Order: sequence, then C-alpha cells, then structure tokens
Amino acid sequence: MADGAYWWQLLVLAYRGIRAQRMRAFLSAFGVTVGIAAVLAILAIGEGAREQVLKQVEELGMNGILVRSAALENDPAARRPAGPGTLRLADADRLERSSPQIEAVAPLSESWTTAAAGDREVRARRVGTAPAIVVANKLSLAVGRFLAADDSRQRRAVCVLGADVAADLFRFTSPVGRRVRIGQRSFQVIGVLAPRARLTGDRAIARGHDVNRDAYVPLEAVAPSGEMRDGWPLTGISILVRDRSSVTGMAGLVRSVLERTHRGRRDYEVVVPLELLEQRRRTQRTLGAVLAGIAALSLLVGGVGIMNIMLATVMERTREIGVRRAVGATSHDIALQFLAESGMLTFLGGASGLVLGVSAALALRFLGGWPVRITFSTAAGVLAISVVSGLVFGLYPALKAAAADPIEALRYE
Amino acid sequence: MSGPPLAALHRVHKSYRVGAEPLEVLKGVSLAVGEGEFVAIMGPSGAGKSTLLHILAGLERPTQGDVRFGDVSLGGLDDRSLARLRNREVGFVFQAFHLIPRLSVLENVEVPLLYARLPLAESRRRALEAIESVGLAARRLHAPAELSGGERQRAAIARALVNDPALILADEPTGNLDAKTGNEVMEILARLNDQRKAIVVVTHNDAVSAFARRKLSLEDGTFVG
Repeated sequence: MADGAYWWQLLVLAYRGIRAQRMRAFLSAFGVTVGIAAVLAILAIGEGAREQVLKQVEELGMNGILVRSAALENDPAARRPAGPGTLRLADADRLERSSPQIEAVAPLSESWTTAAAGDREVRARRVGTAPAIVVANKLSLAVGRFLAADDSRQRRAVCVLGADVAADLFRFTSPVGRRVRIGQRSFQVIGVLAPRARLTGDRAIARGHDVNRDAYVPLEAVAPSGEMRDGWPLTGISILVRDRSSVTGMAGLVRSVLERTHRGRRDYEVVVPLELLEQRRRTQRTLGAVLAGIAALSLLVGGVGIMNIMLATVMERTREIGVRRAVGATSHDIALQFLAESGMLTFLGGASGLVLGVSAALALRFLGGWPVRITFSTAAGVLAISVVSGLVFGLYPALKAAAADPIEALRYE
Repeated sequence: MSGPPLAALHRVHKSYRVGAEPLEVLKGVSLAVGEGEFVAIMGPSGAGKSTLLHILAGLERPTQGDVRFGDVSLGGLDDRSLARLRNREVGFVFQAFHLIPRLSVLENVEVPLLYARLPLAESRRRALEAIESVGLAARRLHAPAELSGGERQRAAIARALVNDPALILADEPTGNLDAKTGNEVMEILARLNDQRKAIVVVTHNDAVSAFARRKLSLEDGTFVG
C-alpha cells in the first residue's frame, strides 16, 4: 500500500517536472511523436493491404489453380480464340483424370464481345465452359439455375449472366427466360449470378475474372463446328483442389502433365493463388523488416533528443538531488525519479504520435480511399515502445543523477 | 548519562584531495552527543565545522575514525542504510534553506516522507502537523520564492522534524537571516530541545551559541579549550 503511494508520487513528481518545462518537453518529445506517428501510419497501411490480399485470395480460392493460354495472355489485342499449340479441351480432360485430389476442372473459352437485349447493349465476356465451373470458381447463383450436363449434351443456347451484365440489360424485369444476343448468337437466360466484390489494380494479387461481367454458356454451344471435341481451343482451365495442403503438389502435377502434352512448349501459364500469396508474404516480411529498421532509427533519433534534455534536467536539478539525498533518498530513489520523468515524457510523445498517426491513417482512408487498419495491439505496442525508449535513453542521465555526491550536489550553483 | 550516547564521533579524520595535495579538514575529532543535549560548535570559517556536521549526519564518510549512532557504527552501513538513517534519525537544517523551488511548502515538508514510504494520507497529516508546529500553516501552499527568509528557514525546520528524528543538525541556520528573524528561528530550535530533541548547531555567531547548553570550539580541525 505504502509502495503504491511511493510510485504514485514518483509519477506525480515526473508529471510536474514536465509541466514546469512545457515548451521544452514538447520540443524534446517531438521526435518521438513524429517517429511513432510515421510508424503507426505505415503499419496501418501495411495491415490494410495484407487484409485485402487475404480477402482476395479467399475469393480466388486458396484451393484453386488456374491454367491460362499464354498466347492469348501475351497478346492483348487478340480476342479471337487462341491459335494452334495453346490449350485444348483434351488438356482439361487429361488434368481431370490425373489425380483424385482434383475436385473439379472447368474448361474456359473466353472472349470479349457484346451482349444485347432489346435496345440495350453492353460489353461482356462470353465464357464457354462446363457445369463444373460453379464448383471450380465458387460461383453463387442469385436467381434461376446454372448450366447443367444436359445443356452441354444438347448444345443448348442457354446462358447464365453475371450480376452487372444482367442489371445493365434488364433494369426493371427479371432476366430469367428472356433472350440475350451474345456476339452473333442468341441465348436464353436461365440464371443470374450473385454480385461479387472485386479488387483491381496494383492491389490485386492476380488478374481474376470480373465475374460480374461474365456470361456463361455451354462450351458445346460455342465450339467451332467441324473440329474434333479434343481439339477445341481453350483460353484457360480452372481447377479446384480438394485439400489446401495438396495445392502445391497438384500445381506441380498440373505443370508436369502440361509439359508432357505440350512437349515442353511454354504456351500456357499456371497461376496458383496460394503460391502468389506466399510470395506476397515474403515481400511483406522484407518490407516489415525495412519498416522496423526505420522505426528503430526514428526512435533512436527521438531517444537521443530525450537523453539530451534529461541530461540538462539533471544538471539543473543538481541542488534538488543533493537535498533529496540529504533528507533520505537513496541513489536508487533518485534514479527512479528521473527514469519516471523520461518514461513519462516519451509516453506523452508516443501518445501524441498515436493520435497523429491514427488521424493520418483515417485521412488516407477517407480522403485517399486506402485500405488502412489499426489494431489494438498495434496501438498498445507503439505506446509500450515509446515508454521503453524513454527508460532506455533516460537510463544514462538517471544513473548520472544517482551517482552525484550529495554534498557536492548541495554546493552546486 | 547512562547507556551509549545518541551520536558519537571517535577520532575522526577527514581529508580532501585538492589538486595533488591532500587537505586535512578534521584531525582526530571526538564528540559525543547525548539525548536532549543542545550543543553549539563554534569556530572560524574553514575550521571544519560543516564537514563535522555532514559526517555526523551520514552525508559524508570519514577518512579515518568511527561514527556511531546509538549502537550502530556508520562505517559498516551501505548507501541504503545511510539514507534510511538520514531519513529517520536525523533532521538537517541548512544555512541556505535548500527548499525545492518548484514545490510548495507542504510538498517540501513531505519530501522526507516519500522516502519513508508513508501512505499518502498519513504523509499529509504529519506534514501539516510539522508545518503547524513552526507556525507556517497559513503559508503551506506557497512556493518558497513567495516566503521571507525566516519563513523559508521555518519551512526547512518543519521538513527536518517531520519524521520525528532524535537529533537535529543545523549548519549556520541564521547565517542568511537578520538578527530578529534569526532569533525567532533559534527560539523554535530551543523549543524542540525542550521536547527532548538533541540539537547540534554550527555557528560563529555568539547570539546563536547563547541558546546552547554546551559550547565547543573547533579550530583548524580539532576542538580547543
């Protein structure tokens, strides 16, 4: 109980010491404030970016593997079906049979075109595919039904529209049962997908589908006539692996199967979101180390300022140190008094840095639209770090104060 | 007098190194202060009076010789125990008052109680009591700079007696005061002596030493006469 009173009084003493020199305290703690604010803002941005990547990978599916035709990928002007040597439906069939770990394989034959209904016309991506796509790409339906095996067998001219395409073409009526002209052909709408949020630009981990602008039709309905089924060209193959732990292994299998059938020609690429995520994590770890370095440096600069000011404070209060020693303070008591003061100084500096950093992060979010995030542990962590830096950099001045000879301190002018 | 004296010096030497030459300030001084005594140590400046008082208070260690407080020899005490002795057993009054400028009278008087690890309420009660006993209750919230010299010294005396020590040491307590206020301060010390507190006062002022019942002269590091 009495010890609680002792600590409390040390804190009160520290606070009054700081208040007595408000301007000086502000200036000396300013370095800590700016350092902490910068660190916090950077952490908030990093945390926000990481969360977004996670969300996106979740959407792409951590269990997914995407094979893309490289000929189409490398030539953005080419929106026609891929030329000879790229992916074929036979590749998809072979991959489907390659391992029981593969849950679903969906062939993709994508092409940008227009979709029209009545007097409305919008850009859309026609995706010729198989019913398995609903599993492989984790699509969810808003209304109607999805493509069925029977639609493929019968080569039915039916389609399932992405949410944006449906909304643009049919503002006030239900699309199901209506007809839509996709490219040169007419299709009957059998279902509409639920809208899905999507990330774009630098923050996207991999180019995914903008599902909302897709129109899914049976591959059989858009396949070139007069060509063998095995030879139907594809722009991509979407694969879902049963178990996350075997994604890397399956990616290896997919690569080796394609390498064999394509005889070593790299006219395709294999995109594995899980691997991309791991890559992103490695980059972030490096970035984290750099940030930690900057943080340490800024705290070092701030801390040296604190040490400097505490040395001046100790010097000014030499007489007070003598008096306190004379009336019963141990050198330990004296050291604690100055440590409490430097710790409180950097705590106040860190707390203002926290306010400043949070404000900066919020400004970035609301004015710049950045995905920032500040966790409680981040805030508590920076405060703890600021106090610790005060104790570390206040140690030398405090020990110097403690080592002063009482009599000489009393005579100090 | 029976039993050991309250505080005693036995053949105490103290020398300082000034440049290359050692300067011997005390040359084998012995002194015993009994309970309730009032001792004045006189002598010209530079005679070693202050050093003697510091050694008696446990603020400085002798180069040679023994200092005892009751049964305890200070030579064997560490920093912590010496601080405890200064805190509980001795009250020190300085010529220059040595109040902490940014603290009020009340807070200055509470300083020794902080190191006695007293609970806050008890600390406040005792400090107010000490301030009242020197007649400064109305001034308790003032800063030292707002007080007269006599008031400052009374505040310092309140601080010296707040932990109820058996021995009060005063180093030229009236040196910075005019004759009238000096006399008032000595009256307070005399009253404390009446309450069985032992007082040792260092001075070169006869008006001050007149309050003491025992007078000693220190010259060039030894007692004379």
